[in-house]
Amino acid sequence: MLKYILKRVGYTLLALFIITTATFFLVRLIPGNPIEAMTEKLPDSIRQQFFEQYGFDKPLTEQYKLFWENLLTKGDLGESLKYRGRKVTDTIAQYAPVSGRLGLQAIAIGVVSGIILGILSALNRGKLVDYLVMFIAIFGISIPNFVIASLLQYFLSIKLGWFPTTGWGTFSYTVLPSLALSLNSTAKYARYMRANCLDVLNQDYIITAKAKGMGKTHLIFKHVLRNSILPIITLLGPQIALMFGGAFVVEKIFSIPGLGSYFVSSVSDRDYTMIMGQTIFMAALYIFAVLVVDILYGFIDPRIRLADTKEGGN
Amino acid sequence: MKKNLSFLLALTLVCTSLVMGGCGSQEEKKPEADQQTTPQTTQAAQTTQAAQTTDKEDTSTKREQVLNVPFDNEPDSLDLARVSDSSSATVASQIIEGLTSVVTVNGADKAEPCMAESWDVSDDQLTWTFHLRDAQWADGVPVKAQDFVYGITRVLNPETASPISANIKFIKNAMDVVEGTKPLTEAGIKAIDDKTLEIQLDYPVPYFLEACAGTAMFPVRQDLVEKYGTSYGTEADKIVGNGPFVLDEWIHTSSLSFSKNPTYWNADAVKLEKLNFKIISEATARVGEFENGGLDYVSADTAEWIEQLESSGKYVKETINLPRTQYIFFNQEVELFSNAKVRQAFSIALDREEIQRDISQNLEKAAYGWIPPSMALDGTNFRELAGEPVQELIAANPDPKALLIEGLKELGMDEDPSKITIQLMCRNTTTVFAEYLQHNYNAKLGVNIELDPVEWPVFQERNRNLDYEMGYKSYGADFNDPSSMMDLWITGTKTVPTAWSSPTYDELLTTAEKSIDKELRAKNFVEAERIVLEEATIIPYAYSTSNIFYQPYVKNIMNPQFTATLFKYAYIEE
Repeated sequence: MLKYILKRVGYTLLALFIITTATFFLVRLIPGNPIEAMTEKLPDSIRQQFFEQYGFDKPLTEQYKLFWENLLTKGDLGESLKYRGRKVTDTIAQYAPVSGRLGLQAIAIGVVSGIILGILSALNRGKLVDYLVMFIAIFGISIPNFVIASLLQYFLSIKLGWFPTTGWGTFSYTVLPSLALSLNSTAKYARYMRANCLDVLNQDYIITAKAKGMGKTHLIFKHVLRNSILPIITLLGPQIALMFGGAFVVEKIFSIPGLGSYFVSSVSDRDYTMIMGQTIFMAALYIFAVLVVDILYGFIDPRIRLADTKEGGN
Repeated sequence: MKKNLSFLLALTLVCTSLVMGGCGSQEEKKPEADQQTTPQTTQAAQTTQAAQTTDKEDTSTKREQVLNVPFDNEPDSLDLARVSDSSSATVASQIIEGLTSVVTVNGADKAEPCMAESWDVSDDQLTWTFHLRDAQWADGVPVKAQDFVYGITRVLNPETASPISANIKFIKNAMDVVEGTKPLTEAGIKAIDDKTLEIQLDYPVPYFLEACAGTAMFPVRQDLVEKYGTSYGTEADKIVGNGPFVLDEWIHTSSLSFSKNPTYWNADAVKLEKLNFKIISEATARVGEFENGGLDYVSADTAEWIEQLESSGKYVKETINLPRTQYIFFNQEVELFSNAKVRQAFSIALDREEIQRDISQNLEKAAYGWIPPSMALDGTNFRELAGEPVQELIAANPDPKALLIEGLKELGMDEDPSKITIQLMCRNTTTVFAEYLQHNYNAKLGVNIELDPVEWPVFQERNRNLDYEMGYKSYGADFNDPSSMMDLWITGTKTVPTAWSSPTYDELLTTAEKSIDKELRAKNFVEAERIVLEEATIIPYAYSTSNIFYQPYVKNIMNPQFTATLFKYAYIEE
């Protein structure tokens, strides 16, 4: 197991290196540069000072070397080019928890409601409940979350005044964006759960249990739920990672100071250092989540054998 | 063992699910409670709350002195020497005050003494001596003349590479210092003692007292800049001001909250207790927030919003003429546009009234001059002095297509306009106007226009590198003097490069800008503007305006044209 983990961590680092390098050169290939807006009214000589201050006068390879040097020796991702004086690492530390909280709330709502709806519809296969749940699922998957967000904002906040329209602070600020973000996962989990449940319900051991007169509640919790929840976990890991990266349109609609909306504005501002920092952060998070899920899987489902796990069989 | 573990995991997942399910149902209830406990300054909420709650006295008309202000963008930094965005300037102007500040009284902008109690000026108007009042920074340290010297020289210091150094280029030797050809000590500013500041200018500046209110001339605390280093001004606790408000909290890209500064020298005049800026980048959300009372004013930039807000009849509308002109410009290195007649044809073929009617829905004003009507020259409205040169051009040349063909003949090009294809560089957010131009020029001149939409940074970069054929944008003046906008077309200025050059124009402007003779200045500026418009170096087509809607109880917010909005005299009517 340990060997397997080490190998996976090695691959993770390699993937990160490739992503970082590609991003570094790709963002610099986009036309337009970050300090154009700031130096619009300046004569050339002062523009030059600007470029020198940021090291843009040096060749690209040297800038790249400098980037790794700073990252590896000082753990420093540099300063934002737009918001002068703000460290990239501080900025991520400040914004990520906001997106993270929003994402976790949305996933919590999504997982719980998705699982419940999925089971309900599987148990009532072909009945009205089933059709209703599947309608919700298709609705949730096909309607983008920002449409939901706008609708929720318009009706529940602007018209009815139940929740704050924009901003971030108390719990009530998080309700509408969390709901908007959760609908998609609700739909997704409901569909997965339904399919798995149906699969499990047809298994011999369920029929046996039923025949032995096991109560319905016991049957669902002990046998059906436990066996059909596995795929949900597979989905969960990467989704949690992505949620930390934020949901940029929803964050923008509600003016939430999260990483998602910030990432998008960094790209349009050509804030190179900021883009680098956020890409590394999100890529690392994602790869790590996938790794964790893979390892967890081995623990949860004994049927799955991880490669090279000789000691895992005892 | 493994089986137990897997069961355990599944079980915890179910348990947490159930617990979270509990949270989910609480969610439905809690917000209502929240609404009642959090003090919301919304009008709607207040009136209904006032009707409901009896413990809050029955003075339902009494409102708290709290103002909620919309903000489009996150300020870049409060280290003002290093940034040039207006959001930063607006935030800083509530917490820091310069020698003067520009206030709006009966619709007119006026510089009033702030940190400077009084001043003397030499007869040649080149040496200004300011006498500072006894004021202090919010941390109790007295404001000294040295703070101004440090602030201004920091903007001029080549190491700062300040994007706003051009705002104070009139200070003696300023541009030499910025370019590094003269040492910092040569800059025309010095502290005679703690309370006396002397500023020397290169040439007389009629708008100098207004310029003193700008961020480039703000006092800066050297000890704090040195203490915080590059992080100076990046957080609420990394900046200290001397102004009417103190910045209590700054949640990046979300909100800024201020409270009244008790140690402000003129604290008695400040009525607001709290000031909140809410950063909302979506216009829909801003207007929605305003309509349900979460904001005390909002600016509406589309006809739909304006109509919707006006028809409700609940709000007070203010229309402000901005010192900003929208215009088309050409790269005159492109052969076609090197000819004045061709450019004139493009100017004449533009129906500016139609643009207003069909594209801008009459939100703006048709422009027939370069300097917007809100600007003055030495106290006289510039447009009254200069007339409407573009209208005269149109009157003199009724047939733009004939003029274009004449121009093509002069260039020795094919005289069939339909064989000409022009790339129109435009911002990817404003393509409606680009499509209008495409249609209009095809109908009136017969030329083909292809749209070339790009992102803003790309637009700027290509403009600078003369890598375009034709484009359009807007330009806003930085101070109330025609030179702020006329300087753009002086040979070698890199703000909006067009490769146009006219020695006569350069000469007219340089003489006007160094002179104190009002008549000569008027004559030269008017003539220079006429050259630009008659040569159709650029084609102005609209003057920008802004429409603001206020809640009826909001009073006295000041929107000066060239400096930041001020809230120090604003109040909530009780």
